[in-house]
Amino acid sequence: MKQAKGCINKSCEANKKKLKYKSDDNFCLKCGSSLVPVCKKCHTQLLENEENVLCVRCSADKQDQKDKVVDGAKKAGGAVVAAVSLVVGVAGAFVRKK
Amino acid sequence: MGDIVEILDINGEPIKAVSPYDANYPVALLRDNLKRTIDQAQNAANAICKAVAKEAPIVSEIQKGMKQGTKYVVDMSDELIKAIDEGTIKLQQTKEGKLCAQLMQSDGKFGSKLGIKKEVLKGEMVPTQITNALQMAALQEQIQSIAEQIVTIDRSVRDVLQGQQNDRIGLYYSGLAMYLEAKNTDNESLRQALLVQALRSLAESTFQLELTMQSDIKYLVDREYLSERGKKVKMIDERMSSINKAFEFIHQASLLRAAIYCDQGEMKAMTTALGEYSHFIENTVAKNAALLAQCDVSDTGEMAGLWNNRAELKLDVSELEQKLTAKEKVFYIGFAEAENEAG
Repeated sequence: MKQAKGCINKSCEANKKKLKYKSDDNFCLKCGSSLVPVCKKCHTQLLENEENVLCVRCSADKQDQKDKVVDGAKKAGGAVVAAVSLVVGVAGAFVRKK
Repeated sequence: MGDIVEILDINGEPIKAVSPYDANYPVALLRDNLKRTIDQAQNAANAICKAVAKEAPIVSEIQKGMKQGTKYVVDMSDELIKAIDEGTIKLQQTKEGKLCAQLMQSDGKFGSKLGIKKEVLKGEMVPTQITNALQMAALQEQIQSIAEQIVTIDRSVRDVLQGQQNDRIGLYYSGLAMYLEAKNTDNESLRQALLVQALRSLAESTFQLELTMQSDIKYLVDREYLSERGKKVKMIDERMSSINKAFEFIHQASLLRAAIYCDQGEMKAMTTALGEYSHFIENTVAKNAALLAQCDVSDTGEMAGLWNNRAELKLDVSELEQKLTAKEKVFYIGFAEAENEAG
């Protein structure tokens, strides 16, 4: 994924609204200032040679979200397995009784 | 395992041994030292009383009460004592080897021999020591009371302290307090000692906090937070909080050190202190400003942002340093003349 670019001119409307430009764009369409790579999420300035599209903090936040989804899925999966095994056990006992 | 140190109670009773690595060690050591000081003062005071009683005939009389009689003392000039010490002349000795003075009888013949006791005057104590010892002896009760108060305060202080960073920040406040005290001290030697201690505390605080900050930055550079499942942002924020706090006190302590040196007219030392701070900014802050800006929730990463601003704090002290260390110092004093617009 390519880096987003943003305007760092404090008085520019594009900066205030945190507008994102494409990585090929070089100048702000509102004020004409040079554009710099910015974080796609929080608009923090990134280094030119970096390949990340997110800053360190947003990247960590994204991974935290992923971890939570995976952990949630694991818990839900565990609960489903437990429920299925309970049902199978009860059904087996019912069949043996008959 | 730490060394075992025998600690005495303020009343002289032995208490449980404390290792130097124990949190109780400083207060126990202080209490022990106070006890020793009081004892020394008491011993010195007793010795002074004895010496005075021995040397002063009137006091000696009072001390000995009703005991009466006459005591003859051999009185010799300094030259004679020196000659005896050097061995150029000798005192006569009896067959048993005892020194003696021989009596001359009324008929002009030598009579019986009287013994002479040799007493060596050591003169170990100087007047200031005597005064200090007497003062310490007089202040025994107050010192004992202070020692007891210190034990109480130490217990409550230890409950308040949280973590190593607080200790290091505490060093800064200690240095600051000592400097303020030094400014209000009339005794020149005490003032100098306080200033030295203040500078030492501030230097220790600075360098320990710098190490803490470098360690925190390394944690972020090495992305060690990635091993924390679901707590990565929390870990980054904790480290950034620690870094921001450390930086604040490094800045204050460095500038205070420089200000103290300046106050004392030590310009070279002041330059060195500022140079060290500048070196720290260059090597620790400026190098990692981009990363720190990305990790700090309050920073935008722009040139006008928090960390880029801090990275720009580099001080150019090299020129000042060169001028101060130059062998020949030449100062050009002149005056500026306003240009005549008409001319």
